[in-house]
Amino acid sequence: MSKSDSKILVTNIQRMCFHDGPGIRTTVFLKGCNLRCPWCANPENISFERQTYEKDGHTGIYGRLYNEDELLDELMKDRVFYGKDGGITFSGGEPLLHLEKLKDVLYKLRKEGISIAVETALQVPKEIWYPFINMIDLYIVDVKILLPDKCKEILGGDINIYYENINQLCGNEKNILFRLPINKEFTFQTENAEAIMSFLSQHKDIPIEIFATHMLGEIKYQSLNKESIPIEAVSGMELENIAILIRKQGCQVNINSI
Amino acid sequence: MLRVNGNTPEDLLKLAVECISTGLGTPILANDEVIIPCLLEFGINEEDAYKYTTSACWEPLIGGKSVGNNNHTPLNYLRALDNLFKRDNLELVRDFDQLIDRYFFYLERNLKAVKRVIKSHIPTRDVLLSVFTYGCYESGKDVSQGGALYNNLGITSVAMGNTINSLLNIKKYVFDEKVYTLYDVKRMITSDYAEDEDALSLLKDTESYYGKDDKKVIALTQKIMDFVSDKLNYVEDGIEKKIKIGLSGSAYMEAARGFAASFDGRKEGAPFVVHISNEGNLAFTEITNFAAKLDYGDNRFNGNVIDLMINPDFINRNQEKFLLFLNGSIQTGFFEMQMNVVSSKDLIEAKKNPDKFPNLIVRVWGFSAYFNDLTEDYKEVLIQRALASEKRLI
Ligand code: SF4
Repeated sequence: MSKSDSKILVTNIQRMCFHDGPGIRTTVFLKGCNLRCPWCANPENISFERQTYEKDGHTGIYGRLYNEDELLDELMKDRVFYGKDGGITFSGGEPLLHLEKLKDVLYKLRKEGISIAVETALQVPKEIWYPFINMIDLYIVDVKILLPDKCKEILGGDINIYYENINQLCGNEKNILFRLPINKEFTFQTENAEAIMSFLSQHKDIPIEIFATHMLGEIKYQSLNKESIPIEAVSGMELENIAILIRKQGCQVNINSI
Repeated sequence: MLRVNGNTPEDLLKLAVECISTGLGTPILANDEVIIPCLLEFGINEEDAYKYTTSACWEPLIGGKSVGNNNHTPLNYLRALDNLFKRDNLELVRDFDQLIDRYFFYLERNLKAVKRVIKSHIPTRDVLLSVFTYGCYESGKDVSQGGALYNNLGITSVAMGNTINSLLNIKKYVFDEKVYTLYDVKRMITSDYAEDEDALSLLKDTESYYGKDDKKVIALTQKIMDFVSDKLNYVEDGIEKKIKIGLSGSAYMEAARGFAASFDGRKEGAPFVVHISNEGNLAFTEITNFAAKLDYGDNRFNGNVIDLMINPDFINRNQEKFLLFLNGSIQTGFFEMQMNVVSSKDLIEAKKNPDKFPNLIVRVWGFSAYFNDLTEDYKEVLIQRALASEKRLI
């Protein structure tokens, strides 16, 4: 493996995050994803390569390579603020695809007693992520397109892998938080919404967070010269109604308004 | 003011967050964990140190037992750098270390001037104050003759932030990347960037340094603090008095009026950086870590306040997590912290239509005031800081 192969490609490290898991967290955005969600707010995190972009007449590069020590230095800066609940959240992109490169960082964080969470779409073959299953304290798992054909067609994903992975997490009694991106065009299109409700009713003990997908990534799409797909805004009231429906299934749900 | 420490009850801190989030600007938090050891090291008795309060805005004071002005005269850290560019032979300054040496040369001259100002204030007899000050009766001396138990005085300061940012910009653009020469820097600051508007955006665009938890930035700030601490530790004005220094000061606008441009992209007359603040920080934890890593020992404890601008939505939506932030901050070891919870939208509206906002309160210096009572330039500083600070919340 060459030097840069072992480095970790990160687009952003956000400190003092209040919304990516419990406590105060530092969120690391890893570059590279195997899905193509049309509403993705971080299009710069999809390619596994560094990318040049153009914004307001300036060019720049999405993605910075970190070696383990550089990354750890950054993650340890807010150590005191993590307390017992907070810690590090690896987001992306698809963090499960980066675990192999991250394993020493994960190991050292665990040794320091720092809690680790991932924000994952969970459509990654088991052999890639399962060896690290116990390195992660909290799995924040997307629930999005569950209809098999649509999942393949819209996301480029494989729903069977997703279900298998869910079973692995549940079987190993891992901490899970479901996260539902809500939009009318895709995730809450009638048939898929029904599939989601039925799925949630089978996992009543797993807490759920819902949020409306937004167009905050628009400027990033432009900077990468990519087309974004217009998505109608979902109102606070509509979110409330969806939360009520989910609660009726006996699930515990929160609305994330960020 | 609320004095806090690692054992402050959770419900009291919660109450403080609730109060702060109303936008009243109070309470300011003072961290016993850092302040009391400084007082003890300075020679204050244990019993008195544990009863400290603050005089004026931020300067720790032992009430009823000390005399001596705690905010005597503001030291302007930028003046020495300005002197350097206007008086030195820049040809002889070959690297960054030499630049710092020359900066200290002029800073020392400035400190001598500060001492002269202090000495020019001859203390006058004050029988009434002596009656109420512990030590005078016991020693049989008036306060003006050093009768009080503690006789020391303090100076405040401004523009440490501008100085650090200017110095590190010079390091980057002159010595490391060689984009400019020292003569270019001199031209820009003496002409107020008349022909160099482009450079202005570059200098401001660059990540601001002061207030980042970066080892280089912290080391340079500490080096300057230590230099001043060493050269300005006592004065003789009839009686020998120890001098205390600090990183906060209320003159960030007055002292800046008419003061030449600086190489941090600040134009002539524009306000200096407010206390320990940095609206370019991406997270509040950055500035807290920065401030906590500075050593306030010896005599460097004359008020060192972090000043945060916080959007009301942010704090109101996240009160519980904000409490975690405060707990972490106390542990990290900040000295003092004050917060302005106000949105740029309200401030801009209030500046345009004061009648609609008769009760809008903001924190200025060490106290709160009605926004409408402030002068236009103070209003503008708050608006600009609020706008810059809100960028990080997206
Ligand atoms: S899984 Fe996440 S990062 Fe990947 S495309 Fe979907 S929204 Fe974007």
